Amino acid sequence: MITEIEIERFKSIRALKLELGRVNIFIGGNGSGKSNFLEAIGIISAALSRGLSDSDFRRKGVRITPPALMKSAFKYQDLPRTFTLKAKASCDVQYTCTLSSSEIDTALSFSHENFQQSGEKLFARSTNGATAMGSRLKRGMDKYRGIWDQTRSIFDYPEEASEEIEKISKYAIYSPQTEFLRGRRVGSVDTPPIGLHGEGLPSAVRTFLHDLPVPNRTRKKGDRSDPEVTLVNRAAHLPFAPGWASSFQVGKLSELTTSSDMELANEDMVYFVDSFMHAKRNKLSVYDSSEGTLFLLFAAMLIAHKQSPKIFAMDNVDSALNPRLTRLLLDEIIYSTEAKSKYSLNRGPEQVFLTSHNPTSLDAFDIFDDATRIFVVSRSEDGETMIERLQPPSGMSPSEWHEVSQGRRLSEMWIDGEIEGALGNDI
Amino acid sequence: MRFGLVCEGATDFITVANFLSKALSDRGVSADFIDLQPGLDKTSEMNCGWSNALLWLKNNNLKQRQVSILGRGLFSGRLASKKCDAIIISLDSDCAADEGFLNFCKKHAEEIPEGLSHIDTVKRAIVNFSELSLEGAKAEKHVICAALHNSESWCVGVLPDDPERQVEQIPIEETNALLLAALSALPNAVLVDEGRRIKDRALRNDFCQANLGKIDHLIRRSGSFNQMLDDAREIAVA
Repeated sequence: MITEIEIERFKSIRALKLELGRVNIFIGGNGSGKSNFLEAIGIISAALSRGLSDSDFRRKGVRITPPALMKSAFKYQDLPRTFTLKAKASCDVQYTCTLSSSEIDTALSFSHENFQQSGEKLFARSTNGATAMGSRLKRGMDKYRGIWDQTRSIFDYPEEASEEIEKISKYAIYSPQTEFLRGRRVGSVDTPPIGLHGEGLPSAVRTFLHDLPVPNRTRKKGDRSDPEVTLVNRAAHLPFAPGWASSFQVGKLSELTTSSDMELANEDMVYFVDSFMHAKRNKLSVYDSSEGTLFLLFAAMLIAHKQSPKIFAMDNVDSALNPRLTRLLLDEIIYSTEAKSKYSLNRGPEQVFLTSHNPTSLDAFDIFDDATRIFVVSRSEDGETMIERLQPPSGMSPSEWHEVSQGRRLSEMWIDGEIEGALGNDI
Repeated sequence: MRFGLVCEGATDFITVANFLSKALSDRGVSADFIDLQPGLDKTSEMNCGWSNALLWLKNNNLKQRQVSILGRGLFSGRLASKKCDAIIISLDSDCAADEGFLNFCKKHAEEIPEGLSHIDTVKRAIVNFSELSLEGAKAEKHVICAALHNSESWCVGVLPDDPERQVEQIPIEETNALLLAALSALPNAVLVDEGRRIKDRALRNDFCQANLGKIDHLIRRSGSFNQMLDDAREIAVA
């Protein structure tokens, strides 16, 4: 789990350091810099995965911005041609990379890298050369590929550190799009089990249903609960929350019930059984299903599929969802990360980053809980992105806060403008 | 010094925030203002501004205001947007002429005796709804103000006119006509229908900004603005 991110000179973020929780939601005005923060983690992930090419960024959901525009560019500020990203994570690991980003470069390149565990340098590079596990690397290092990717098969890195890198390197920013979920567009799945926009939904659902966990029979008598089964069941029920579908499956539907507008209309597709329709024609393909249901199915795959990344981001987590369903989805995400942590489950997300414009998303958060954090993103007068955690005043107890807030929900406070910056800058 | 303002609407807020900020600044008090009431939806906008303001006071009782606004606030650091040093409650005294005003006060707070002046009626309503007394309000860091007739009068106070004529002596119809003419002379007036200019936020702000230099005219010509200024300054320097 990433415990802290530090950013210098990346896009609208001039300088920023944030301590993170298991579930982190970023709210604020349009264009305040929420997505830039998610992308900064995406670049760290790419650097610890393969490197800095456009395809590496695309796989992470990071926009393919020209290198010269990656570094901050504020009026009246003469900033270096590099930007620096730093992540601290579990097992006392810390990774820092400084990337070169000038007008003459066609791609970003590494200027410096440094990976430490408990203060001990595992690999690094600078203008003086590169090292790994205490050895100086003789051959020239590719300046577009991370040291980790170039040395992981050569050196015997500590297991714990390798596992942390593995988790961070799988991070991606998911942003589901109706066209892919409905099957009107198809695309490759670079981020198993499902593409960043919903590509490969049928395959994800099929493997999910095929690989459902079996209840653990070794638990003590009388205890029928199995946390992994519970987590999967709860996630699998998400698409039913809108109230019209009773099950979902993957298979072929007859031509008569499949829209010719679908890209792969005669192949296996996800379909729902409608609770209200006649049993002879109650199967609805994704094309004819409600958008919110599809988004919830997408989220269920991310939450509970065995292949899902342990750390991921969902940009606009409330897409296509009404206020009640937004809250429900957030409840489920928080539940799944808690269960994953509490029971050390193989499934479930370890850490999630979210953005939202729907106030009810906040109602799933306890601002006294360090595991779930709300961050408000806004711009300073100079245009710099500022991010601040929403917390109660220092020393205030939950009961005092309840009294002072008069039992109002965070969503109401957001709408009523009581959270500075959350509604965006006033005109 | 940060003042939270409870008033009848957005244009009143803009007027008080601009003029009072300038007047206090001229007297050595640096002040900024925030609107304590949430923005209204279109349905509630149709209600009288005074009823929204009074109900806000009732729903945010004195103890709650003392903690969440004048005390530690709801959130830490920069995000405590409603945290203030003092609260100004400003209502237009012409609301006392509304047919339902006294009934509304009786229904939601306490009965107000008939026969009082408009200003005294409105001030009495404010203290009833806000759990304050006229004498003790400043000690609780509250400024109570009833503009005669309304905040539009304060706008007219900065316009060229007979300096000896108090704005309270100008009939309401003439007040509106004078303000409308001044607003219509602003460059951005072409962006707003004539019928909406008096209540247009951007236009009101343009007007106030353009006339800040004439704040002394208003101070000379309005007793209610002067009273608000004195009370706010007294709390600020205390």
